[in-house]
Amino acid sequence: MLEVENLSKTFPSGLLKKKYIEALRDVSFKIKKGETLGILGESGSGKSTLGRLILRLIEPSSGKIYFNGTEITALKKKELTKFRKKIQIIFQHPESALNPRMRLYDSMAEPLRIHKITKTKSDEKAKIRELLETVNLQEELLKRYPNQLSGGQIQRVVIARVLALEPEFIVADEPTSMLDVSIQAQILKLMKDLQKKNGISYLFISHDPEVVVHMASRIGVIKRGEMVEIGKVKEILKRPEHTYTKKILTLSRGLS
Amino acid sequence: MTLLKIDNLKTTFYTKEGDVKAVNRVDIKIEDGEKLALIGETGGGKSVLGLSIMGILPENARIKGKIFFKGENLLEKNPEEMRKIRGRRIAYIPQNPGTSLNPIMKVGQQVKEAVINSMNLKNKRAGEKVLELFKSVKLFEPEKLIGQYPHQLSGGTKQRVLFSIGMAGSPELLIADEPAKGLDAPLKAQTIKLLGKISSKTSMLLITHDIKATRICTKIAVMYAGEIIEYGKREEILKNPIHPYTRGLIRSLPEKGFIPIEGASPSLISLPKGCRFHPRCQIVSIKCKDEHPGFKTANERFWRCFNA
Repeated sequence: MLEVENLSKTFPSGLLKKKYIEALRDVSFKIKKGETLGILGESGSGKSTLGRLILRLIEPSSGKIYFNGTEITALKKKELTKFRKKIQIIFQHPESALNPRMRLYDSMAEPLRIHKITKTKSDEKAKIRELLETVNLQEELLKRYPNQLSGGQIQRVVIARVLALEPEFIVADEPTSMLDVSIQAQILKLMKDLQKKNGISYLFISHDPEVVVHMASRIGVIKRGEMVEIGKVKEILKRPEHTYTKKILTLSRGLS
Repeated sequence: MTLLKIDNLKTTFYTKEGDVKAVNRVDIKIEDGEKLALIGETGGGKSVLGLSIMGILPENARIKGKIFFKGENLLEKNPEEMRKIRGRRIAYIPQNPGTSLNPIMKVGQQVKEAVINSMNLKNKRAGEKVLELFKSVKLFEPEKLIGQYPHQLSGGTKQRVLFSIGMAGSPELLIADEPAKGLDAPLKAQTIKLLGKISSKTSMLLITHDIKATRICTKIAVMYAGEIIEYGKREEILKNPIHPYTRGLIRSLPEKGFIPIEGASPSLISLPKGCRFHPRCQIVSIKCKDEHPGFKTANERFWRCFNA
């Protein structure tokens, strides 16, 4: 379904933009329909850059991305809008993903309007109601502003908004790292249920090995922009080959 | 000896929307040298309890009850007396290292301020003390760090700078509010370990939603919707949680399979009648909807539940 080939990204840095930072170097992988690939790495390893590249929120320096056979990296702007209906992203900081000056109803209606999914006002209302039900939120929240909601509620709204477009593929960039353990469990369960129901594929980015292991069937480990290891969850847990993977696994186990 | 004893504490915020009952009828004790973890979901009043002890609440807050620190009621102290206690005898490590440091002041100067205030040291000696503190919290290149601004530092480093400010006055009680929130998993483990190490000689109230971080503590108090709903020794609570909310929290841990507690915490403005957990509870009975449960107790364990 999704195929990434030798993807690299360098950012210019320094005062005269003459230095470069290699955020991602030569990364390749495939994701099948209905599958979850977990991406594990420390802060600053290039995980989020990878997610942004797949949606073409930023342009790659080199390499190609294919989605159902179409080369995303070669799409023109108009085609890209259509394509973005199929691929969506859930960000780490749900508070900044919603416009603070928009009531939730309008935030939810925005993607429906942009992609012309509902034709009439009553269609729109019905669709939003249906989406809220899917993510287990009460209707009275629609009149509120984002600052009147808890982190878990906002993340549900963000997920509902993403689902409005019926995407086939979702990049989840640390969707629960700012949430409490019990709320985290709720959101992860919701994401898994949606996957079962709609056959969505996920690229699940996280620094937390336990979360990645719970969500993914395969894991790719990223260190300083390079994919140092990729394989089935069970095998990586049993026999981590790269020393970096071993290090991450032992360090985080240090707490349990 | 009892270091901190809180009796029937109520902290309420008066707002346009209504009265926010953030802390309700809380009783807590911390013995000398003891480390107590206060756990529970966000918005349950944990941080407000910490701020109530420090006496740094916003103006719209009203506080009732008693907070005894070594036998003296902190709520009867005047601002000048409290100023002498804060930082020197009770220190607070705030959450969000990103916003807790002054962005336009070099970090060395910020720590020095704390040192001068809490230890009455001269400028030169205070500078040496800052370096000692940085070394004690395992900060590399402390000489270079002194001259840097917060935005030049990583989240983990900023957290350690806050630790050094907290430890500057060698306090008798340390209150740490979510000390590892937002850090990535390996760094979180290191940070908690470090906190355990630097606080080896002080008593601590550790406020956290992360049950794993409680491993440096000996006791746990579980807070839900402004109340303590269970209290006891850490191992016993983790091994054999009694209250259905505590059981739910433990089930939602990664190693227990991420099983969520259904529903959400109530608004602290309109709390449910009866037991505050009853709308989400799996063993709810009719009594729970009407009556508020008091504490049951056995073997130094306390819990508020009719059915457990």
